[in-house]
Amino acid sequence: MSGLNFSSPNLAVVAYCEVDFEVGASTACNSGVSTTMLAVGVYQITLPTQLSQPDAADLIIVQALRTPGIEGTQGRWGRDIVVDDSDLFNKVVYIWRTAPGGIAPGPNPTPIQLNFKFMLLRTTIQAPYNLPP
Amino acid sequence: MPGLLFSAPNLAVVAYAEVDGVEGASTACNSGVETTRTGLGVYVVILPTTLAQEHTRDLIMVQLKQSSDGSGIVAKVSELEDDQSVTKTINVWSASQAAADVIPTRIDSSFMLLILRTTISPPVGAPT
Repeated sequence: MSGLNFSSPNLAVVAYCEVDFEVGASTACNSGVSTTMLAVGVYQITLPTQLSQPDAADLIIVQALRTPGIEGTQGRWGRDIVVDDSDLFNKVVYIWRTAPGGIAPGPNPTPIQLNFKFMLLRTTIQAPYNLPP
Repeated sequence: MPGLLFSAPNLAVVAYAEVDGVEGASTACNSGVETTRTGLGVYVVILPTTLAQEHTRDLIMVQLKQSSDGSGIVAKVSELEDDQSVTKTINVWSASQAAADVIPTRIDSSFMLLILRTTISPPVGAPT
C-alpha cells in the first residue's frame, strides 16, 4: 500500500476488548487486557507489561454500546466519553449520560455504567513529527 | 485473509494525530498532517494534498481525551465535518447544560484522530 501513498502510517493493533457495564468485566471479546470498573462510569483497562503504551504513541477509540437493563425503560440517551491515556499501563475511560432536550436535563451530565468497545492502536514507524517512544 | 471472508473491506490508514486541546498542535503522535486550533473548541486537520480524501470514502474517528489545560475530566461531545477533501474540522462542546434549550458551550479538548479509507470498490456504490 505504500505505493499508493497511504497506509504508510503502519498502525498496529495493541489491544481490544468489549467491556461489561456492571463490574467492568471483559470475558468474551478481549485481546488479553485486564478491565475493571473503578466507580460509576469509570472503567480502567490495564495493559500487559510488555504492551505498555505512552500517550504519545497510542491511539484509542471507544464506542459506547446500548446497554439493556440500564436504559431499558428510560429511552435512549446521549453518551459522552473521555479517555485518560496518560499512564503507560492503565487507560481510563469516563462515560456520562447526557439528558436529551426536554427530559429533565440536569446542570451536569451524570456518570453512567455502560457496555462499551475499546480499541488501542499504536504507531509502528517514525512519524514525521517526533519519534513516538 | 480473503479466504477467511474477513479483511475483505481492505481499509487503509490514511492519517492519525493526537492533538493538544490548548494549542491545536500535534507534535508527538502524528502521521504527517497539519493541525491547528481556529477558535474555541474548533480544530482543523489538514491532510497532505497527496492524501486528500473525499467524504464519500473516508472513515474518521475522533476520541476526546482528558483536558491538557489542567481542567481535569469533564464530559464533552464532538462533531466532525469531513466535506472538504483536504481539510477536516472537529468541533467540541461541553456536555453540561443548564436547561433543555440552552445552546451547548464550546470547549477546548485534546483528542485523538484516525482516518481510514476504502481501497476497493464496495458492493454498493464505488467510491471515487
